[in-house]
Amino acid sequence: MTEPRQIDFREWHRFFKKIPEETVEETRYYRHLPNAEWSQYLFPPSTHMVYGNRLLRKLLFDNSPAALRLWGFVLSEGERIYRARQAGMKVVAVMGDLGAVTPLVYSFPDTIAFYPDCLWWTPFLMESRVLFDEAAEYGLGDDCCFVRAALGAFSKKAYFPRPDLSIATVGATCDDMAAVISEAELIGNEIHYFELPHRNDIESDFDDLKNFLAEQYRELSARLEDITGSGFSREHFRQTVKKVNRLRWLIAECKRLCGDGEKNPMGAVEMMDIEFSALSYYGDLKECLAVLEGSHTEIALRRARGKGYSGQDIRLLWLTPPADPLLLNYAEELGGRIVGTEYIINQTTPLFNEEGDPFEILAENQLQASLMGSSDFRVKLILNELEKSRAEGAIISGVFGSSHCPYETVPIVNALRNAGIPTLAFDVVAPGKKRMQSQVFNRMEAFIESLRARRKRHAG
Amino acid sequence: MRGEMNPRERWSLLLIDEFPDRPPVFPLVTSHAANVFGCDLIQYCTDGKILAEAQLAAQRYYGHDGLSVFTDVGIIAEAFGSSYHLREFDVPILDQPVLSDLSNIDSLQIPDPGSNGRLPVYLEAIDLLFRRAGDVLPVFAYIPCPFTTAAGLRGVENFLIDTMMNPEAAHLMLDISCRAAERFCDECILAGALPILVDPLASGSVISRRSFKEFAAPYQRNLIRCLHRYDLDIMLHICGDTSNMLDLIPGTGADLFSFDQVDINAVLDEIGDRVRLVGNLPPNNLLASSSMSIEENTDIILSKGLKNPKGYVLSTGCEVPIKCEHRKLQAMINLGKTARYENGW
Repeated sequence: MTEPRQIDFREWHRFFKKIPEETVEETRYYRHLPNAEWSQYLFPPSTHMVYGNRLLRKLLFDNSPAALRLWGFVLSEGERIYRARQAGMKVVAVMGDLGAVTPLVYSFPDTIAFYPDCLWWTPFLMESRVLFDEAAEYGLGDDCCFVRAALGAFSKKAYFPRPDLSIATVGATCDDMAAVISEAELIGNEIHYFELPHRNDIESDFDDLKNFLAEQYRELSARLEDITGSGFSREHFRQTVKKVNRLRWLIAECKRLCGDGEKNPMGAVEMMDIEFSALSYYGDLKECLAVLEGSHTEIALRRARGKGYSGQDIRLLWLTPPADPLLLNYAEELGGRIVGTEYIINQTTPLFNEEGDPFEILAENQLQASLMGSSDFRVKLILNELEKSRAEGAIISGVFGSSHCPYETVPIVNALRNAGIPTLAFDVVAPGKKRMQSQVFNRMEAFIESLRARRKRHAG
Repeated sequence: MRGEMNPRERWSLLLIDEFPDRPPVFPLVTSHAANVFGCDLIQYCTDGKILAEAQLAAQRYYGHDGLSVFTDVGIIAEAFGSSYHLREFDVPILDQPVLSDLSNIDSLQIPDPGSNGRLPVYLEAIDLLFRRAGDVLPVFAYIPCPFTTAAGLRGVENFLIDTMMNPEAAHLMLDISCRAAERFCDECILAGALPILVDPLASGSVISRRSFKEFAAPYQRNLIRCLHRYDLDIMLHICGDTSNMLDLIPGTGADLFSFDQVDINAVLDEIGDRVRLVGNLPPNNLLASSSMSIEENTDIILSKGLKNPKGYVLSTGCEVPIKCEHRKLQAMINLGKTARYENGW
């Protein structure tokens, strides 16, 4: 076991030469496909950097082989979706606060899902405005959330293959993504709408809401039957849910282990990759599970041996996923350690009741969504995470133009401050705006310095 | 324009066996960029900033689908210690090879890309290009293959004689040239460029099929294997006539083959099902003195290339001549941009 460290792409490029060739050859996705020479994915960040992901030149990565595998798997998702299509699999796009639909999609044979909303990371990874500029052609400019990158991708037809089915939420969902979806439909993409009711958080209404959602899952299942030519199978669904439960358990365990212990055993960027695997399993549930097993083993081993990064001791809660992953690295460089998160994907965290009615358990799961109801619900989730993580401070990385951020930020900040937790809230800066970015870095630096001073005062 | 792909997107799709909106149009605009930018070739070959600015200026002017970092085929041999004569209006030529006799082969040290010869010029240019335009334009670094570098270590004639009279020494030179190329490739990748391997002296116009098989192909293969380990898609360019060795090209592992004086039909038939093809408008067509019709010749090549099952890139057969007529190159590029695939989204 190597001493845990965060290293840059250069160092990974060199270390990669030492990884045995057989290991590289054996690490593949879609293992059920014979002779798929394109399915290897154990490659270092430099491989993905040279194809345009310029941010990888700046990021720091964990130095374990498990983290290398995780990065290789995450960064190959784009190609993987195309290969799935080439291999005759059905490709389903799932949009708008979902992640709860994907177990149903994967329960159909040779069918995979992906999450176009996640293309909001692409402009940051590429340090590029290409997708934003493309979205602006349709009227979605800087006053819309970064998820508008997905519209740019629909227009460009170069980031994912034409989906066999696009599922999108409507109703109590993200307004910005709803705008993206409407435009995507206008330019010729057929959308299957899935209505999310407003969760009013009144317990007596729960069954009505559940039934309403379950009915929509039934309709969606029928649609998937048409697309795939296969009937819905309870047994396949049960098997899929079993795997999804394992995956969710692994994510929760990785999070718990990263919050416990003296030292931070894994980088916050890797942990964000791990948490977001719960949305669509990066296009291959089985392999995703194997990747996460590897990450969990590494984290657990480090935790058991008291190993981790040195110099990261200020315990932080991070709220709302940062579109710019560099911010997480930066917090760590300043001595921060992300011990808890609320990345507005709470619907992907509860374990399913494996024996229940398939559509009802999906509905129950959906009702746990972070953003389907009042801000109070999310505030409660955050306070719960705060209690578990024993964080000393919280950072909210909001999105300028995102509809939910301005409504939620004030109640969240108030709730945290009432709980005695200093909180820093800022909007993530779009790629290319260097001066504004440096302001954010300054504020983070000052915030972490003040947390350190506060700790000293309390100790004194 | 809504929905139009950029060069980065086009290449990305091509390399995963998908159809972009049109084939990439990538004439080998190398030293000709200096002519567009208005600098002399000594500046272009010795100053990474100028090389980068010239490439960007040429790309803005013509709108082709990629940036080319290349000065001359002696770049690695020079870093080993061979001396090259830099010229204001033409590419550098070999002045004094480092191995005037074979007795000092063992003293050769693999060059440090950060400090030896003009290798740092490449790295500076790549870094600048990648930072300025790497999100929309792929940056390609042309790396001489071991056969060509070895010829630069010994002088072309001497090296060709060595392959006959002293093959062991030839292999020693090839081996160290291969290791140097691998190290240089690593640095080019880390700076942000995808290597294109160039082997002009391994051309059928210079060596026999037998020599190619014994002295060129194995080292091309080794180098490509090293790069494949990183899952990189590698283009191999060989100038001149390669018709007698076409069947050996897939064996090198090249993902794309850039060919010159070979009938495109022959290339398609021989290897088109296994290798993406890049070519092949004769560069001399682009000279002011040429009476060949650019439109007609481009159209013929394009219509055939588009049918290649593994994908196609419209290009010139070799480097665009330094004094190419701008109007003619523009005509070729414009025609390429009108090409469309029937398949797609």
